Amino acid sequence: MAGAAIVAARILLIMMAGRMIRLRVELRMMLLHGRSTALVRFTLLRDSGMTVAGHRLHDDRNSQRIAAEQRQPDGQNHCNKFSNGARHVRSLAKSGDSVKYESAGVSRESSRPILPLYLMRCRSGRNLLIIGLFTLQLSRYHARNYDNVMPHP
Amino acid sequence: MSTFKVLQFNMQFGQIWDDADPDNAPANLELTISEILDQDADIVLLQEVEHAKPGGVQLDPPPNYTRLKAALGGYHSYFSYPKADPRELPFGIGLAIFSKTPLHDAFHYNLPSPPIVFEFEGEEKTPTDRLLIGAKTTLAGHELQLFNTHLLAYFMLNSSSEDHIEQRRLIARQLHCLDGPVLLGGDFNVSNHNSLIQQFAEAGYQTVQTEKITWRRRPYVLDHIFYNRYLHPVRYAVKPTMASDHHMLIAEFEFMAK
Repeated sequence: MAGAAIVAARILLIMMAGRMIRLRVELRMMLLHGRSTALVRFTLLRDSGMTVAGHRLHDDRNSQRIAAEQRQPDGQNHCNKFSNGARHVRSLAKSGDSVKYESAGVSRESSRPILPLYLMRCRSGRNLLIIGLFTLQLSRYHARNYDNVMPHP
Repeated sequence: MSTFKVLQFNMQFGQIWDDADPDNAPANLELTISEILDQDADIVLLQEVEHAKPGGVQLDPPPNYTRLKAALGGYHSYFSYPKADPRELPFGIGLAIFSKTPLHDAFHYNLPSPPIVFEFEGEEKTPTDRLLIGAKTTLAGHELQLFNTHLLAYFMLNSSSEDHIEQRRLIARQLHCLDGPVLLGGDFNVSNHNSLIQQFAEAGYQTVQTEKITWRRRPYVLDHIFYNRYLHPVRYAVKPTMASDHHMLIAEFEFMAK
């Protein structure tokens, strides 16, 4: 009887945990060269459903600029080389600046393919990696709760 | 020589940048020359060296290249016009490679453009062919294959190089069969640079940078220096200049041990 109660308690605990957990795994994946940053967010909702959202971070300045450009009312027509109409001119930098070098993004070591990078490069690999990390996080969480209820001797 | 410096620059035939009226800004080739000399690069890859003349006339000798060659006295060089074409519009044409070390096996390769119809000054036009040039040089005991190109700006014709990928494919094919250090610089005129980078990555090439825009007219990263696994980029810079509507892309490389 006591055993059945313990089993029931475990099931109940897991269900409660399923409702209460708002598990968020954020992976900031610095893809090739570290230029493109992606945020992947897993959220286990109260109804135990899982949503996955992936989007680019707003700190990708070039994406921002291109997005802003695409929002321009006349789109491609702003380009004035082939159109005699509206000009879309943006001075992006001033002349006479001294050359400021930046270290190139890829080191000797990182230019060699390594498994995590390879996994991040291909979509299915990325999904596998994310699911794996998610499962690991979930199992750890449950393990902790389980341990709280049934401490090891 | 532990590292060597490469300069990639679309010089817009020396026409300077004027915020107020960029299309009617004057040419100042002395400024172009001064900017190039300031960088003291070992290799200089230039696009739009000459100003296209009406009717596709190509002046021989090419005047801007001749002046550049005289000013860059310590350099060896190679220049080529694209295929002469009466449809040529009055913009920049002609590619040049300058190198502090002797060049050999220079070549030029025609990149056909598709017959996309677009309007220019009230008339229907179709684009002219583009160009890839190349040469080899020897730096620090390593033979280095150089390429320089200027592709058609499909985005200016309300089209995309992803829909018309032939020019990019022809270049990728050139890259595929090479073994040894290779550099490919140019104005690729690809607004969505990610697709270009992925395509060339499949051929084993990476670009130096994608963070900083390289064109003043629209916020695109049009200029690139691609390199293969025999080279390692040490550092890079995008240097704004008033000598063109493009910025200068400068990168330093070292050779990787084979």
